Amino acid sequence: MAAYLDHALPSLDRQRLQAHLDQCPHCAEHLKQLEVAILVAGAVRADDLDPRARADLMEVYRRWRDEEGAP
Amino acid sequence: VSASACPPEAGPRATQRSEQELIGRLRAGDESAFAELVETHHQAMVRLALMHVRSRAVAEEVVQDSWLGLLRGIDRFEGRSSLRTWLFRIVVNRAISTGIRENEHLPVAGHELESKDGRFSQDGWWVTPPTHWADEVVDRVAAPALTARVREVIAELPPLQQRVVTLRDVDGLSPAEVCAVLDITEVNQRVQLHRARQRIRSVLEQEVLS
Repeated sequence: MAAYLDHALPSLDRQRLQAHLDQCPHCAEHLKQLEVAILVAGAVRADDLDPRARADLMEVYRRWRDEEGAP
Repeated sequence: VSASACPPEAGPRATQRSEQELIGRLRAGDESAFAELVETHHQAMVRLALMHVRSRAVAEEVVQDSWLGLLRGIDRFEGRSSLRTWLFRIVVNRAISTGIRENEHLPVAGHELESKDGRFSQDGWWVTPPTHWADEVVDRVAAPALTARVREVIAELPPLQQRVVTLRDVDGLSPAEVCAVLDITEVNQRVQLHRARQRIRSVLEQEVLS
């Protein structure tokens, strides 16, 4: 299932797994739960960039440009 | 290096073109190009650094230093990987050389791929069939209580699992990018990711069924 989720399963194996999932509600549920886990992990990324961090970095940028001189 | 075991990074052509354009602007000293990159990648870079060093302050130093590395090196960047992969690789290298924690690459055999949690018999049948809950949870994946719990779980994972699942599922990198950034093989990447996802899955189950 790990390879299946990574789209890394050879096509024949993929077809066999899909055929099995169509018939086995337990494995289908297990796969669905893993997909939910992936979705929830994706929702963890909610933090916005701290304006102070942004300002600091732009300061770093300007100092670099003035000292080491891009064009 | 092990990264050669990974498939090449595939990116839509449009993304490659806009990346070329961004690199061009950076080289020309366009401040807004740098600001754009910071906006897109800074948080993920801090998350990545935090998984190699102990404190947030050190992680932010590492990332700031990495941004300087990007600025100094952009003229030499050859585009053999995506800009993001290159940038994240700089973060990992600097975090490691900051030397707070060693980077562990545990070799794992392919047969360990499926976790042995006792729910399958020797011949591969379910011993304890799963309780069905995925459908009820799918509507509340972004619920603050769930995401807070999952954030904790990820923080408690072994370091390599934590790095892989954060890059893949939180920050949305491709398998090839993760292999290149962390310098691990495709199989190891998948094993670590699967263990992490199994752990998250089982914690969600506890949350839902409790």
